[in-house]
Amino acid sequence: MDRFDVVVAGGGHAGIEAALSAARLGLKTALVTLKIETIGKMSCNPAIGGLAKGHLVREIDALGGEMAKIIDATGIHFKMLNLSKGPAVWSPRAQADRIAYMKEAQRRVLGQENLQVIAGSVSGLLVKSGKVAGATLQEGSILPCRALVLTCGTFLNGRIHMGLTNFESGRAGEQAVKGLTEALTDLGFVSGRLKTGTPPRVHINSIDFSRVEEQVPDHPPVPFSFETGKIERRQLSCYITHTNQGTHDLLRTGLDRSPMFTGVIKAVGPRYCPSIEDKIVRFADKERHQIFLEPEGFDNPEVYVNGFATSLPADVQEKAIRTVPGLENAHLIRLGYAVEYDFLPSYQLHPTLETRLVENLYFAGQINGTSGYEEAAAQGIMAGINAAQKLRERPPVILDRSEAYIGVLIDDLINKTILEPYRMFTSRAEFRLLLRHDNADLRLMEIGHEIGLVGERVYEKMLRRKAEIEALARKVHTTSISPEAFNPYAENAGSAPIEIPTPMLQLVRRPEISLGELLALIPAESNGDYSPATVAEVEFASKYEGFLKRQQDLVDKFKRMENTAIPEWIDYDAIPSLSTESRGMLKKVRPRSLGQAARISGVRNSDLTILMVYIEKGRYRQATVSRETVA
Amino acid sequence: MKFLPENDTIVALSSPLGKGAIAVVRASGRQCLTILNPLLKKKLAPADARRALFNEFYSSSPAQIIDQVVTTYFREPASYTGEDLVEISCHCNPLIINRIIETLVQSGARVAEPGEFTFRAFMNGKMDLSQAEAVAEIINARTRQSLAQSIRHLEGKFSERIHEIKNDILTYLSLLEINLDFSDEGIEVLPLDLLRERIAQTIQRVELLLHSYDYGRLLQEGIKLVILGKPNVGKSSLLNVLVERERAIVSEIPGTTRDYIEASLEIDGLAVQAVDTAGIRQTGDAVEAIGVERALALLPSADLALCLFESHRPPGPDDGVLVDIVREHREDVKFVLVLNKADLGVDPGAEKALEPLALPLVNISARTRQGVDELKKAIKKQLFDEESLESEEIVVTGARHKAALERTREALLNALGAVEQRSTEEIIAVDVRLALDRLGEITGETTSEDVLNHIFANFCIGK
Repeated sequence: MDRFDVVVAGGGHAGIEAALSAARLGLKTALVTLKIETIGKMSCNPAIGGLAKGHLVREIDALGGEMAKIIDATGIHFKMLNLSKGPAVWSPRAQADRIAYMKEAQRRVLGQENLQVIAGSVSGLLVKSGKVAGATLQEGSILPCRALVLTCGTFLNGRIHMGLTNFESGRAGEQAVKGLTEALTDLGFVSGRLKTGTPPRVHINSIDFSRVEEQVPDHPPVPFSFETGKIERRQLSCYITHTNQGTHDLLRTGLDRSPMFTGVIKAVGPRYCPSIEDKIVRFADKERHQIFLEPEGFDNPEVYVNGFATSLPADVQEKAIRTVPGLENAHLIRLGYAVEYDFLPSYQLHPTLETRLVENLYFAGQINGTSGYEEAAAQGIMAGINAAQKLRERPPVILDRSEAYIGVLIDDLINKTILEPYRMFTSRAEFRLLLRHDNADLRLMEIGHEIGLVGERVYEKMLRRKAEIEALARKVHTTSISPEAFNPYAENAGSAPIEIPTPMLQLVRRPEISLGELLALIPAESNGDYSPATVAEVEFASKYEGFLKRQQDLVDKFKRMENTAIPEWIDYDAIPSLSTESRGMLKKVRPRSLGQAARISGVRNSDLTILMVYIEKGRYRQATVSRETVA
Repeated sequence: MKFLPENDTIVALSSPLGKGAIAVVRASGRQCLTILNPLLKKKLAPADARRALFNEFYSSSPAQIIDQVVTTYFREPASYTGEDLVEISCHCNPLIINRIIETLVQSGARVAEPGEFTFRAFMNGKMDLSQAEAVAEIINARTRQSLAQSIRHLEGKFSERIHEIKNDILTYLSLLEINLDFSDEGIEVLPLDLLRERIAQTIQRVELLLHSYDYGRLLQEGIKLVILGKPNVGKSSLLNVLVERERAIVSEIPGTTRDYIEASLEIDGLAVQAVDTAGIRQTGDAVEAIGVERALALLPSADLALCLFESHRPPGPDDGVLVDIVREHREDVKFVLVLNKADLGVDPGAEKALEPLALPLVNISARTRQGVDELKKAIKKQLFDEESLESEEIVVTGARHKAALERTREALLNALGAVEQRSTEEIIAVDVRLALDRLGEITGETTSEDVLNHIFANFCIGK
């Protein structure tokens, strides 16, 4: 068989991004997946984006990834979330036509130059002197390669639970991947086990829509990708209903056959995505729980019952769901279930997602303990980029916490102990005000372009946008408005009148004043034609200048700590003063910088200080002994 | 964010805590002189490097003398830390030491972390590389020591109050974050009016703790008590009764205590530095006049003054001098009036004559010890208002804790401002988060994971 540069194992959301980015960067790439027709399948909810996740999708797009473009082509219900808050936490979300999404993803993957799709299952790997040499397929053949990206989703020793019955499976109706975890643990990797779940799907014709509340999509829909002009696809509504005491009573009758409550499932599931039985037990006094009915497409009768994830036995699922208004006659096309799977705690990775144990081996997605398509895709593109960068002998691409949610994601994975599947939240980002979904292009496109994943056309569009923003910001800082122009408007806006010409910046800072309206007050000939996005960007920057400055100061402080590198040669066992707990964590994670060391759970402040002493000591020693080994 | 040393100015007591005549407070950092000079009578300049200057150290506002000190300025790099460093030798009184450190912190310095002076010395190349292990060991040991101290401190009601405050803040930070991270899940939102109320409540709690700081400092460091009265009114006898040993020379000849005499004693667990002064009277004697002047000079630095009169006869002209002094200083110092010699009889005229002063008054006999317990009660009551007497256990003592609480309050006030401007949640959250971080200097860090834990434990999240 041909030798590949990069082999990607898995055709989910991580695998797609990893394979496409490696192939586009000119590397001979293979994507190995169990079934070609399930590439891009949405295993759980039929939606992309959402709070904090929408930010990730925009960032993937700014780096030259695919997810935003696929959902823009196949979304059937777009909604911008958190519009009542400030722009920093607005987040796009879209329901997808599940089948269309999968087909669109396949079209892009199969049509990609340099990318060969192979049906099969990677069950082992070939390692030569600490470096990846190939992937072993289940039937025994070997795929020689220089780098291997594992994106196995829930397939590693996957086991599906429904009531007290359980069986090996990676996803409903699909076989699990056997042997790969063992191959990795044989190499010295540590593995753990996590759990996740999914709700039943009901037939659209069995829903009584007169008894549920309609949720209409945004009009016009706002696309995810910086390259998409307009969303063309027809839009659909979603619906809301609620459980009631009757539902809860019925669910309780099944608890003695729940794999969760009887202890059959030992792995930990996500607390932010609990099963319905978990909700009624933990929050017993809550009278009802919200249920979202999400259509899965135009030609697909399945409706996703969001909020009703369950691993109770089939009979209980069916009876309980029929107590919910609108679902009295629900026909269950598919049942809910829980799935347990192996993951590899990600402290074993470099921030490039390359493993520390085996060179040129990369992990992305649920194998790293995350949940969610967006989190997976974000890691996928970073693993693909970094594998390609390394093989092309170019510097790694590591985003930090002040640059991107992707940076927060990977940094958290490496430094925090993962106890449950990891999902992104805006509250995880300490520089939240700076990381907006609508400035992802300004933050990251330069990097995507530099690597070679972002095309000239969209890159230039971003540069023009940047220039326009700068021009308007200058105007706001330098232009004054006269009382004659401002006061009549001020009266309407409920704002205090001015007596002398006043700088625009000062006026925009008043909460009740909008920049768009201020611009209308200055003579048209001196007024450029600014896009609403530009006006919004500058308005935000002006109104919250103080807050942004404070965040920027924190970023600067953060960068200083990030820039204090901890050299590779440091030997934590040779520093007797370190506390035992800190030493253990430092040895486990091997942080690259003092900043990173400070974020590792369990590392004490005084130990950081001691560490600084040793770095300093070593620096002198290294400088005098040799000139080449200083990291 | 966890601590990492920077180029700020640090301050700490660098002589051992405990008994001794002189204590040394050290400040080190680039801003050392900028911070110190406004607080010193003689300003330090490069020309003064390595010269011991007899100096005066003032509080910042109002500018009052805290102590007479000796300052020595070491100019970088010729100092222990390799930075600008000033050693302030002051009198070894915990009260003075803490006031000096506190004043420096108010002016922009930071209380040093354990071992930080040594650490800076090392980082600035002032120590041999072979000493690195010793440096690390010092940091390690100091940390263990200060950890043990703060654990002791964090026991009891203080820690309870701090955790109440932390939970308060955590609760509404969680609610703010729910409105941001789970706004699509139909969870009850936190109305801004309620949020404002809750933040204001927390600010009150923080302020209550800050008030207790003064009380706590008195408890920990003791108070200064001055005994005033005409000659032979029984000042020295009273001091002896309070000390319960012969400290002052008690004699029948008026004017024995010509200068003043200090004694350390304890009143119900409260450390007291008592000063017995020369008698106050209209006098032609030069020596005694100086004594009176000195007694008066002691008043501003005293926490409380006991004014002695006689109980068996009405006040005379010498007593009148004292009454005038009380009238003049009653705004600055707390007074308790004591009618001594009750064993010789109680003349109602004596009490009546002092009534217009409207100050607490106790009849005692230093000779028979009659009324001494009442006097002790009156002293405590006058020093601490009722509220703080009740919250006796809840006190903030360390300068570091005080600074952290003040910075917490500042962040909460900013958050309150953001709420009043009707800012959106992510803006308000910036300062609420900051308040938690600053409180974290006492309680340990609150991570975003802690906030999420709080959310998941208390709210049904998840579609």
